[in-house]
Amino acid sequence: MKRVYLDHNATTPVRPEVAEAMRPFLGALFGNPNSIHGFGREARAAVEEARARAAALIGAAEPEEILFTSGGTESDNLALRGALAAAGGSGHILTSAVEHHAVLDTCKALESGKIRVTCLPPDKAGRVTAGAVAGALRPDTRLVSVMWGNNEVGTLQPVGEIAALCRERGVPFHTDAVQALGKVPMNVRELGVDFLSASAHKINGPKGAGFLYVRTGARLAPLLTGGGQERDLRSGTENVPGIVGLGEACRLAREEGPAQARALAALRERLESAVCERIPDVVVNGGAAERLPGTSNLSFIGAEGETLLIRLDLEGIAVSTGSACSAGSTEPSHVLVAMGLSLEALRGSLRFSLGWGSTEEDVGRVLDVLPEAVRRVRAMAPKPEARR
Amino acid sequence: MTPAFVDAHHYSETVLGHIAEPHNVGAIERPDAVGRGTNPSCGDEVTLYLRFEGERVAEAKMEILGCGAITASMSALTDMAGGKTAEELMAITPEQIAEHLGGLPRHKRHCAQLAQRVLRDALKDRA
Repeated sequence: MKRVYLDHNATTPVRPEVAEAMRPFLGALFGNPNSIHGFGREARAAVEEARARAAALIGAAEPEEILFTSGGTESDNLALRGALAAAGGSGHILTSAVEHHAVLDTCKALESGKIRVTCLPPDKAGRVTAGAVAGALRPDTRLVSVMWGNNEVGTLQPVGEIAALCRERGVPFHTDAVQALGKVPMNVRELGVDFLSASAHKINGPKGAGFLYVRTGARLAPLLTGGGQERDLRSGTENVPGIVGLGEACRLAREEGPAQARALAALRERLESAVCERIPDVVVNGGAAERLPGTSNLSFIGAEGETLLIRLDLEGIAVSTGSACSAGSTEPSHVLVAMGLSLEALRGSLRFSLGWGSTEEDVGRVLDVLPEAVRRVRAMAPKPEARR
Repeated sequence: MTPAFVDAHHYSETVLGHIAEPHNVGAIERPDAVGRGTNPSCGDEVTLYLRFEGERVAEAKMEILGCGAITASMSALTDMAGGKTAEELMAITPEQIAEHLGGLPRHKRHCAQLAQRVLRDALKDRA
């Protein structure tokens, strides 16, 4: 059975070019980039080449504005904790209710007598407007953090407008761009973004590598202290193979991203229109907003996401769900809840996320399998007259 | 012996089998007992139908709108109920349901508990 991977927002396959670029650094080129000798210089050159590639992908003014980290979660933690610490460890953080847990839970962990957090609710499509941000800014707001593209529904936030507003008000602006990187055009210099989080494994790079863009002049305190690597902002010997892989993934994303985004948008459109045509009672979550090109979050009313996921999995199709029936306290997707979905829509949600390597054939397989899976799950449900 | 609830994120092969092909799906036309249950936190909805011959269950069927674990739990319960008396049914525990499935992830314990509640609801209905 040919397997179909439609869970690219969870992680992506490492492209062969990336693995190839990394290989020497798992072998002969093992040097520590901080060493003065030749082994060290080889590694240093590779790290700096990767830094330049990452900077080029997001339109940073200088490669030095890129700090390598272990991934998106660390980048988010460094931005939030580091910016607040640099601002004196007190004040207000303004964020949105649809952020990734790496932002939301970090805000929660920071919240104390000295640090207050506001989470802006989104509209029904998952959008947070610049107007809402403006209305919630306080004199003591030390950081605004709004994601670029949502991992669950794909909604794109108006980061340009929010960045401009923050600049005007003199408030640092952070955006978690883990999902948007390589999929939408980015120019942090033009937009005036202060901090931007990114991860390699979402753009066909390796796991365990990412970066935080820190605009020159933006104030940040380190989380990790030690050898003083990464301009004293992220100590620890650099993950050279991971960074090289990240650099190659950034190069590929810069060269192929725009064409790939168009292709993915077309595939997504085909998937959504055919699913809605063949299956009754489907809701496209976030459908009213501009979205990441490959992300489709669909609710199958009268069905349940996890059983659908497993039925697709048994046919070799990998997707994910926002319905999480877990021990009492655990809520389903906080993003879908914040968007105000009904219980029925929450329960029946599935996320299809396409990416590099996704084909018409993959979408065709879904269309072959999904209608019957939904029909069977719906057929098992208690009939309305039997329900209380 | 397999523990009833395991520290696992993923379902066992047995559970997956029940989800792919749940046993005894559907309604019984003239049931002797009907039990219903919902889980308000996740919205699972379950109906259990029992038909007795004499003192023992001759047929157990179920309808289900819920996650994999509750689907498997109900599927297992309908298997376990066959041939049992009301008294024996009352003795079925969430742990036994989970053991019948070769173990359920610990965070899905409430699914086996819901299956037991629905069973007891049915027995109350018969009484």
